[in-house]
Amino acid sequence: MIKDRCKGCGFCVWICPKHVLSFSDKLNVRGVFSAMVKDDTACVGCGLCELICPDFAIFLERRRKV
Amino acid sequence: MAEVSLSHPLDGYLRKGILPHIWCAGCGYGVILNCFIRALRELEFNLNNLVVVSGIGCIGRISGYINADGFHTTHGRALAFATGVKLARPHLKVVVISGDGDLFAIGGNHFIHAARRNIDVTVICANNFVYGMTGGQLGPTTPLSAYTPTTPYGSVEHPFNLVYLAAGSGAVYVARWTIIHVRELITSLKKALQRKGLSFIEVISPCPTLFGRYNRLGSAVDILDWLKASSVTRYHSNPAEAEITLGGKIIVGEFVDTEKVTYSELLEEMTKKIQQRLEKEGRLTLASL
Amino acid sequence: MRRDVLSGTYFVQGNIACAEGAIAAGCRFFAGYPITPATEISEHMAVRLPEVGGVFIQMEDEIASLAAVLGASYSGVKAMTATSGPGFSLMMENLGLAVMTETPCVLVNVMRGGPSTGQPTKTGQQDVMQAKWGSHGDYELVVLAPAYVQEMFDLTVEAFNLSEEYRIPVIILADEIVAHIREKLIIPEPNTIKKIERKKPTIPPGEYLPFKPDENLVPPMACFGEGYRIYATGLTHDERGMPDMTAEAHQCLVRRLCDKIRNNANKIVKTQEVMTDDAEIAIVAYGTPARSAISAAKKARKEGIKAGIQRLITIWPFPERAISKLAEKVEAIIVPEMNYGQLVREIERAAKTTPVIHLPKLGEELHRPSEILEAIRRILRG
Repeated sequence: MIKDRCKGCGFCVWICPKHVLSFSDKLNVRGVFSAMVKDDTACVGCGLCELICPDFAIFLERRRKV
Repeated sequence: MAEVSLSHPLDGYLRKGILPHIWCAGCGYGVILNCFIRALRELEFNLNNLVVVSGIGCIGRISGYINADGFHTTHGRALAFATGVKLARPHLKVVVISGDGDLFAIGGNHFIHAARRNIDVTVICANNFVYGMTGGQLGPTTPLSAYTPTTPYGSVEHPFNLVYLAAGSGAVYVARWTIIHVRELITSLKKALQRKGLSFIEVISPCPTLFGRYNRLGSAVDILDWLKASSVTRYHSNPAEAEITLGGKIIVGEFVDTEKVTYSELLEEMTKKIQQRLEKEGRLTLASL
Repeated sequence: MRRDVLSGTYFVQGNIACAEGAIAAGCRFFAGYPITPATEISEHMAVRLPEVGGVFIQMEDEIASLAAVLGASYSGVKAMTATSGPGFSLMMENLGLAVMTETPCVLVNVMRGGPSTGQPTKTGQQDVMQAKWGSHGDYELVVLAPAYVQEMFDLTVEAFNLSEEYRIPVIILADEIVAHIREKLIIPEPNTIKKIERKKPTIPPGEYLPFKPDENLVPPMACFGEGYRIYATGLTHDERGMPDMTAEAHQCLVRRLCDKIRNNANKIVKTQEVMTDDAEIAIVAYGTPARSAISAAKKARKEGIKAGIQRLITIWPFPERAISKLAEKVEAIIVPEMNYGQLVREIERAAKTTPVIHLPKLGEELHRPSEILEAIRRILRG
């Protein structure tokens, strides 16, 4: 999450099939409640949030599982 | 655990300092930008060979956001300008990204002629159903009976069926998607960018701030629900049957997928012949005119 | 063997001379739309451009024509269009875009009778003010008025050079007569034709600012496909080309766009002085009426009248200083125009207290030398 780029539109929250995302209860620098990761263990890495974000505020990072 | 980052993997495709862009929270135009950039990336496209031409309107700002040669023309004239670019420098990829009003009201004439000539240009129409920048007035794609500031009693105009118009004008590739069809849109964009001739992709991206509000469509996310509920994906269906009405189905998919010799190819062939003849016969003075 | 510049001596009409001038200047893109009395330029370019490896396209209207010209120019190709009054009016919005984006291009307006559809096959000089003020906003450009077929060639070359040097649209304001008469044309050898190319940036893409001017107020121009990732918009913009809605940006930009011409006016303005050294009565004219004026003045001289002509080759920027200087030494200035009063207003302003006699003429005919001579005699009679 690039929190301060988020405009709070909710597209990523809407599209996530695994309900990983929700809205923060803290205002970001834009004065909106930005999206945030609620439960990243549910993330399957589909990448839809990254594709639908209009503001380049969220992207997936692949982590090596040790 | 999600970390807070300061940069995004696609930032290189954007000019420095353009974020936040001017589009409203809930506007789908950022999605179009996102998908377009991804299509370029997946094609490993050399951005030095790209020229983005945009018209006037909210979507018009996109040429200033993409990190490639860009030009923001007068209202409606993007395709005419793009024709000049393509013919002057045929090796460059010219993409016109503009809105429904810019491309099909004031720019309607230029669109049909560019399509007729099969100018090698990719045209992306960001259709938000209104003239957003000026306050949400009626546009050539505003659905019948919709409310806008210039149709305060509901529109009595039939809108264009853009995919039908594009197909009828001679476009070689015609597709329509909405902003929720992100994967399909990227695929179509890649196809269109690689297709010679005039390709046309309509992207339905209803304006939540104006069109949505005036027609009580709810929040931006409610509009996504509406798109999901109304969209029907059909490949190679008849574009004549793809009209959009409030309350009806929105048919998305690919409508036309053909190839046809382009204006540039014909022009090049003709020019070569002339030059060969000139080498042989030679025009020495104006007198032989 | 292919010859791009058809050096030689010919007997052709002005429109052909204009087209050949463009090609000699390096024009390799033409987008136009048929309109009397300029169509011959399009038709000749359609024949010649493929021969010289250029591109001709007939667009769907004049608006598209100028838009395509701007696109080609921004891609690095010298480009031109040609039209008459009704098409000129259609081109006004994109003319403003050319000014704002500092796009070099040449626009030929072969004037005919107006307003509106008017008299398509008859001459006129009714677009003179429009050539300067036709588009909205404050701006400056250069407008040249050929009076001879040879000038249709020479001034078109000059127009391209000015457009490249100052990054402006330059207008050739011809009239139907000079466009259609046939006269001797000498096309010189290509190596004797002066050609100016737009200044290119000397710094790498990362440091280049597309609208940062040099000392002469003109920014070097990177074009599409050169790796500079340029951006141009018709919106008021900063040096990066990005839209800027502040008052400072607007002041800075609008002033510079005007000043780059205003400050160089004395280099740009050209007039032809004929017998003005000792003149007591002067005729200030432009375009084909100037030829009648020259004939009238020569006849007047034979009658012992000290008449002279100042022929304006550049109409805009307006040759203010030349006319003021002339006005100081003559008793009266006669202005023959094929309109109902356009440039005469500027001439009156520059002439200050010197009386200006206006000779408007509407309709298909040029002023006859006898009409101008009679005007000269009338002044002397008091």
